[in-house]
Amino acid sequence: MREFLTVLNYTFRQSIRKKAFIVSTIIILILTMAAMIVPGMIKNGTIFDSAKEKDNKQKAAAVQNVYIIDNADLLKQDLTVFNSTFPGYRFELKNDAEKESLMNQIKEEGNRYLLVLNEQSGMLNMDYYMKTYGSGPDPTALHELVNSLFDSKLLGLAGVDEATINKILSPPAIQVKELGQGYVKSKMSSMIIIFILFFAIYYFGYGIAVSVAAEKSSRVMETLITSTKPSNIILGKTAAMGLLGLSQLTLILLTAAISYRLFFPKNFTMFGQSIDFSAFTPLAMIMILVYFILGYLLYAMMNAVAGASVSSSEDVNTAIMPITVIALISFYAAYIPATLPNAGKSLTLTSIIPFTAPFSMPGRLLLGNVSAAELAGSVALLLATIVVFSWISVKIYSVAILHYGNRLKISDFIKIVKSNT
Amino acid sequence: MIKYKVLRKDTVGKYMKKNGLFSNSIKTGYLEVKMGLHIANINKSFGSKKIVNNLSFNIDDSGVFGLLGTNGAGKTTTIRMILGILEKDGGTIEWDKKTITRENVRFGYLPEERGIYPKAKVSEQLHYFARLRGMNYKEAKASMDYWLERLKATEYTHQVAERLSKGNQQKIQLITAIIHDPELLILDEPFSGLDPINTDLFKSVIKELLEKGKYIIMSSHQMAAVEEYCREILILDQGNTILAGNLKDIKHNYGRTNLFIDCEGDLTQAAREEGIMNVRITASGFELKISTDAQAYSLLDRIMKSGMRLDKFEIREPSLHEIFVGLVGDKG
Repeated sequence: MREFLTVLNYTFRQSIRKKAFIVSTIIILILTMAAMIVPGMIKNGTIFDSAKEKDNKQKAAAVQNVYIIDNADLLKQDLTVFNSTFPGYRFELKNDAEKESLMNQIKEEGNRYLLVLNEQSGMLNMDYYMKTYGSGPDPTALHELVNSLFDSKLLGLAGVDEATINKILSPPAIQVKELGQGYVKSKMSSMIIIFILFFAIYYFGYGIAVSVAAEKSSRVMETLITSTKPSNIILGKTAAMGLLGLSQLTLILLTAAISYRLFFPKNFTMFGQSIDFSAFTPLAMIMILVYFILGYLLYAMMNAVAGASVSSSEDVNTAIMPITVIALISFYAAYIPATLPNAGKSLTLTSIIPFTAPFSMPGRLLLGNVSAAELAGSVALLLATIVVFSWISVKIYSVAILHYGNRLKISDFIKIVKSNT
Repeated sequence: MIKYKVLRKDTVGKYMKKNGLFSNSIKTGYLEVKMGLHIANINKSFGSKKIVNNLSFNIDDSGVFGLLGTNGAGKTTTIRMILGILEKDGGTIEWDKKTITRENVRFGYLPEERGIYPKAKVSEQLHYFARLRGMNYKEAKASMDYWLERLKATEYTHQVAERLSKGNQQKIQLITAIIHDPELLILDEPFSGLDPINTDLFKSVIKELLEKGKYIIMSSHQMAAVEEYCREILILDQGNTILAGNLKDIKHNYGRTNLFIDCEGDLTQAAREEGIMNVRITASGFELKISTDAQAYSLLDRIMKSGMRLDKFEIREPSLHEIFVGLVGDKG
């Protein structure tokens, strides 16, 4: 135990002082704070212009002309509604005879627009001319305005009174109200945590493989294994990197929680739906950390063996390829169901399978539909898998760390386990 | 010098029971048990290839034991089996009459392939290894300071290892092997890559360890160094023991067949007339192979009578280098 703690202490102290770790932690924390602060800035209009500022800017800019040729006699010479709807533009009526000349002006000089309204067989036709698409008043908004004026004209001709016309043309008020947890609210939290856990588990697991390979390539391993048992090395190292990851993850969650309280706006909405992170309850946070530890242990043990199977750090990426594939498949198996509104059994399945559970179950916990039995089953199965994998990994690691030369393959691992049991 | 393990009186009973010893071993309250390394019939194969074949040797006294052989002879595999980092296929390795383990003997190991943590400070990694070998912080600090000073490396204490010269890295590696005061020290090519100054420094450390009664196994291709330190040697060739025993006895058994003469003029003709056909001319003189001492003295008589100036005349046993090359040279 003392030797295990010595390995843990040394590895942790060496790793926490590495520039790569310090810089990446600072960047992640800044991004986390930014994710909580930016919505508030959007809401207060300090990043994007508020409607009023936009209006003032448009006013300040040179006012552009929009010409209207009203062959349908729809507007009755009244352009008030156009000028009030599009404040950055000056609307002006022109005759049909001027059409060609106006089109030439637009083609040559730009900065002006032409709207031609015609009525054929009782149907309204609208032509909108501009030099480049994207400039000038929004075509959809123009279309909606002209359409409502035309509808109003038709209803008036049909003898409908003005009050009724206004009612008909007013769009119905609609509010989207979810009775369950909001789709964006819960799914977004779930997807974010799946991402974070995947990267944390993968990144720190990769760190183990690199660390083991570095000890082999620097040949310090020969001295190390005469100083302590291989099991102390692999377990101490794994625990140290896990502790490092746990520290970083805790820092991220704490930073997120504090900046959420301080900066995140109340009733923030996106696409008409409210966004908040109330799903991150203290229990959910603890379970996220628990699943990080378990997921990390499972993948770290495999990574340690991969690191021990090569003789130099340059070969680590090739060695961990099978683990990367397993991790990516597991990540997508957890992530895709989490994005679907009705994932049902597939999400339940991925939260039980040991390889996908570390990513899937925390996401599901944030959706709030996990029974205690499912949670206990998932943790128990994951723990059992970790014990089996740790046992196998220690066996392989003890032999592989002394192997120099060609990279050991899975068939070699099987032989090692068979000959050591 | 015979090594004894001295036990406190209150631990004697427990020790005896554990080791199957009898009460007549007790001397005035202290139990004296002869320590040593005993290797019997160990084997190791990788696949169908036999790497170590039925190897046996004993190191009963403190001192330096020379484990020799060409590259690939099985030396490193033997060392790894002694250190317990490689499973042997058969045989026994005992220390102090018990199966050797990391728990019942303090190992020190200087591997042939040197390795230290390149990015870590010297003090940090020395502390790390000392702590892994059971020392507390205070003991580790004291031992580290002593050896750094002894090897003239104190100024590198807080430097990152990769910034040190190769020679200084070797010093740190040697300290890593001896910082915890090991009982059994294995030195694999301890002098390789060292300049003459550092070679002398390392030799002085080995002498100091010998004075402290350490058991040392030295594997080296530098035969002069082996001759300087080793009382007992063992030569491996393709996993088989081809020569083992006391170095003096081995050399004595080979006989005084080497004659070295440094004189003016050419001796070749005179040597042939005395029946000495194997004559080699070197920069420093003549090396001749003789059958008997009488041949040498007869040649000396001729030189003296001829009036040639004679600077050196030496009849000697073959060097270890000559024995080694004679045994495995053709195969190696």
